[in-house]
Amino acid sequence: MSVWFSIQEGLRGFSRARMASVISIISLSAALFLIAFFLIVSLNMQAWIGEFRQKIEIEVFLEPYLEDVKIRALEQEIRAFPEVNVVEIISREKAARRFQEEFGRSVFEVLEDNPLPPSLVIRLRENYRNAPAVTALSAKIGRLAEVTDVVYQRELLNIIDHYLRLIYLSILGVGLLLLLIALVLIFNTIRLTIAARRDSITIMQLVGATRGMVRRPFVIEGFLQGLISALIAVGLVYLLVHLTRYFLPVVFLRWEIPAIITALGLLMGMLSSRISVNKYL
Amino acid sequence: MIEFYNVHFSISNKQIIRDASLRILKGEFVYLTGISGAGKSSILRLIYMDDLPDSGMIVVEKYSTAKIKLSEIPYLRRKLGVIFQDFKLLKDRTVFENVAFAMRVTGAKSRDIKRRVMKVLAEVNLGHMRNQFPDQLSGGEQQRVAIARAIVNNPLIILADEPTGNLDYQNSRDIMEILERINRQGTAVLMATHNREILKEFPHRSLEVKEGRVIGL
Repeated sequence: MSVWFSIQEGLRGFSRARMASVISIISLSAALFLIAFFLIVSLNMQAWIGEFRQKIEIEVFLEPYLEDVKIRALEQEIRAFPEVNVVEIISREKAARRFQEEFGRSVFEVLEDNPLPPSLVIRLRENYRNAPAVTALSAKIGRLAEVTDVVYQRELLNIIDHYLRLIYLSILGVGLLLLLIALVLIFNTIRLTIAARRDSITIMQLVGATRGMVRRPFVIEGFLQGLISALIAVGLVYLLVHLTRYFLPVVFLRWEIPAIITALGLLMGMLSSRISVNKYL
Repeated sequence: MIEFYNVHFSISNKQIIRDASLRILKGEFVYLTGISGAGKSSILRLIYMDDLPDSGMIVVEKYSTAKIKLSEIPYLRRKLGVIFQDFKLLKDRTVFENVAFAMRVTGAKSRDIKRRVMKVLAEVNLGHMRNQFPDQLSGGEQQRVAIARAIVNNPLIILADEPTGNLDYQNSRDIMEILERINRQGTAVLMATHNREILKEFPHRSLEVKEGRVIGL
């Protein structure tokens, strides 16, 4: 039996059980869309958390009248730590300027002398942007000579490390659960459409079609259903992202998501057809 | 060509065939008679190996139930033509496509399929109806399509399960005449029926199935 015949048979089955095909496609595209939706949410969540973590800074306050040479020496020393990405020196003058920027008044309006100590602002490498690493590093830096105080956003770090992760995980959990339900649903729909065509399976077997020949048109049909469902789901995904950007311009989509759901659609279409038709062989 | 050796067969503990032995030779025309439920259809199903015996052995041409692999059964079936009381045609295909279907699964070329299908449709006097759909045909015509499909691959034997069961007298006679013609061309026919008129009018060797046993008459 030629491959072309299988393809023709697949197409024929597709248009023959039109209602059943439509139902399969609707449930499959809904499931794929759901998967894409959760992938987008978790992808954006992850990016968002990453951005948050990037903002983590450790500010190291030094002896108020430390000489510039010593400050630079200390900066070199800290920069050499494996956890450290960037070190910025905030001289006393710069600290005064920052004070003015933040509070709108110069320190010299209130005081005669600049009381602000010099400091170093540290940004971390990606792997160390979490609470335990930051705490450890702060302690290490705190022990250095000429360091008077080490400050970092403990609260922010805790929020990121605990709550966001929790939210992220629960989204993932709900997503997986929905995915499971969708899979069962699709599998059953496709199984029903095949059950409705038992007669043609029986006849194929009677005239001497091998298992592979009986199966092939159904698998091709499943492939087509998967393909159409994936196209619908991808279309909906682009629409969703486009619309969401009106409210949340930061939301983004990566090409991998359409690719994943297309592959998943094809796989699910073919696999459920194959498993279902195998029951009658 | 077809041999049963002490075949026993049961469906969910109900004994359907008991110790059946029989032999059908090349080119023979044989009836399988007996009341409904006697086991006629089961014997046919055992021949095309839709069911396998509990014990005993069935040999069809070079295939034996003792050692056939499941993957070989389709190839056995291509040497058999099967006809049913309810025709079993695909309703969404034309007459031509229904017959061609049996050839397509064998991997025949389109050109050969066309030529051969037209030839067998002419043999059952349905050439002019090749583009009709089964629902547009009478029962007798549908059964002739089924016969065309059964013979399209040049089978060694036609297995017919009450082929006239749904047909009136005239259509039954037409079907019988076609089957006899096919038989004269060398194809064996094994036909299950309980129609006495047919048996009288078209006499051939009969095997009676009674309570699962096969009795040669």
